[in-house]
Amino acid sequence: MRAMLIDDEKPALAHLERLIRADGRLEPVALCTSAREGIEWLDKERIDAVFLDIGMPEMNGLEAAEHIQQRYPGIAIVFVTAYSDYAVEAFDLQAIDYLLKPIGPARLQKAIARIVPDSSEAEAAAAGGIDAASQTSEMPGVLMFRRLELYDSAARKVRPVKWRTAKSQELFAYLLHQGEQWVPRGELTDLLWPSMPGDKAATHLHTSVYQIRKLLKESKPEMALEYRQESYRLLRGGVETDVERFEREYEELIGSVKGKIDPAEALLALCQGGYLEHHDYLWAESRAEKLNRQRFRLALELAQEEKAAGRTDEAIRLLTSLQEEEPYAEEICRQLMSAHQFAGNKRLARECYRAFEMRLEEELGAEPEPLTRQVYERLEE
Amino acid sequence: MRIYLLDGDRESLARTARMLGGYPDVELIGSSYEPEAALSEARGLEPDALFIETRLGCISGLAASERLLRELPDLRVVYVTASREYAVEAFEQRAFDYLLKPLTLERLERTILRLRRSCGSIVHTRQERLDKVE
Repeated sequence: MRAMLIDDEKPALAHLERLIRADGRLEPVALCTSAREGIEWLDKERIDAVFLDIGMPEMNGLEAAEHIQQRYPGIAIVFVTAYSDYAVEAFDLQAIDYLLKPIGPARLQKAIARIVPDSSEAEAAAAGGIDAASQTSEMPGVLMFRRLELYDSAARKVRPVKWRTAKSQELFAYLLHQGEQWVPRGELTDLLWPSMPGDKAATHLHTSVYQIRKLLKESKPEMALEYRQESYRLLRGGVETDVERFEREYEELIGSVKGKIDPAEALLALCQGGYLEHHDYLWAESRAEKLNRQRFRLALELAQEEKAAGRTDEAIRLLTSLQEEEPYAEEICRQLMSAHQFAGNKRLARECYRAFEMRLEEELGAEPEPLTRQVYERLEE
Repeated sequence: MRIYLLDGDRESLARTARMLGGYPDVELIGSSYEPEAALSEARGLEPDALFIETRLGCISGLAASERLLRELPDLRVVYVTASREYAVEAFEQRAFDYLLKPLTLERLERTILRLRRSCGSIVHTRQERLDKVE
């Protein structure tokens, strides 16, 4: 089946194209940087599915979808966007799926399975030749990036959990945070109910423990919450969290991403946000910072290797999104300049420096470091 | 087509039921404002579609329909809700549709048309299977 990709950002287009090719069930036949261009294609070519960005100048993705829907009602529309706000409108437009950027291969495969009837993801792997390792590597059973979530690997999706109280959820998160270590009861009550008399806090703790055990029985029977000698611990029964997988694989990858671009990409796709960031737990902050630094280092190294492997579009996409997070980071600016230069685009490299210089000046009253300036000056030569 | 309706708000339950009642081919096989009772009842009735609110108090509409989907994987889940916030998750879950309250006849009409197509085709394939057997 034939797919069209519409996104005003070229790096995003290239990334999606690569993922679709890797999956193998759809053939990306048209890559368009505006909705208008896409619609012109549709008049000439037979297309089965359109992957559509929403935030685009001139005609946005929702308007484009409406047009496509009316004119070619048989075409499957998949929105691909950084914003979650338009999902209701996407239902109104009978979109077949709604993907949040950054897209990982697993979620994309699910979307493609909705377009290509009777195809399974295993066939996709066979057709597209995705290496067996990344295909069989399942999602971890517990997700802690962004927010605490339980992942149902049989159903291949997040299993929504309704927590009776925010404290039970925090207790569960805290025990996960401690690995499989014993945590004294007093530490837990001090953390969760600091201003409550001891006996009352103990009652609350019991209730929360009971709720967690009930939840585990229903959703993660492998795991067990144990109590011995005034302490609790959460045994995993082999269930790994996404954060633990990240930490483990990070150690293997960092400094040796060369030749392991795909595993590094897959690992970064796990980080859908900061460590437990949704919950604002004070105790999670230092680990969140550490993980964020690691993710950052890995992404930088990956960008370097993408560039070295000649995939400058990928490198630029990655660096651009890193720069959005860390607009004042000198290292990113230098690498971005170098990636543009590698891609043969000195003009963009210069613009990148000037924008950086201006941002520092206006927002911090500072100047770029000498090293950054040197990279820029070498461009001019 | 056979529809089951679950909404914790009795007024809005009655309103949706009334609107569904306007379609001669819609059979409202059951409705409830109490999630647990609704789930066990719907499980037994095996509706073609479940119309459900995302906010049900003690359990979210997504969790509730998820539980039902495990036993009735072909169930079409249509959210009828005052809240926009679960729409992305609804896509993840492959929900059939997501309608905002206050529900309008015009929007409901489109869902019903799609449901007719979807349910109709199932009857058809079953017929085809029967043909093959013969």
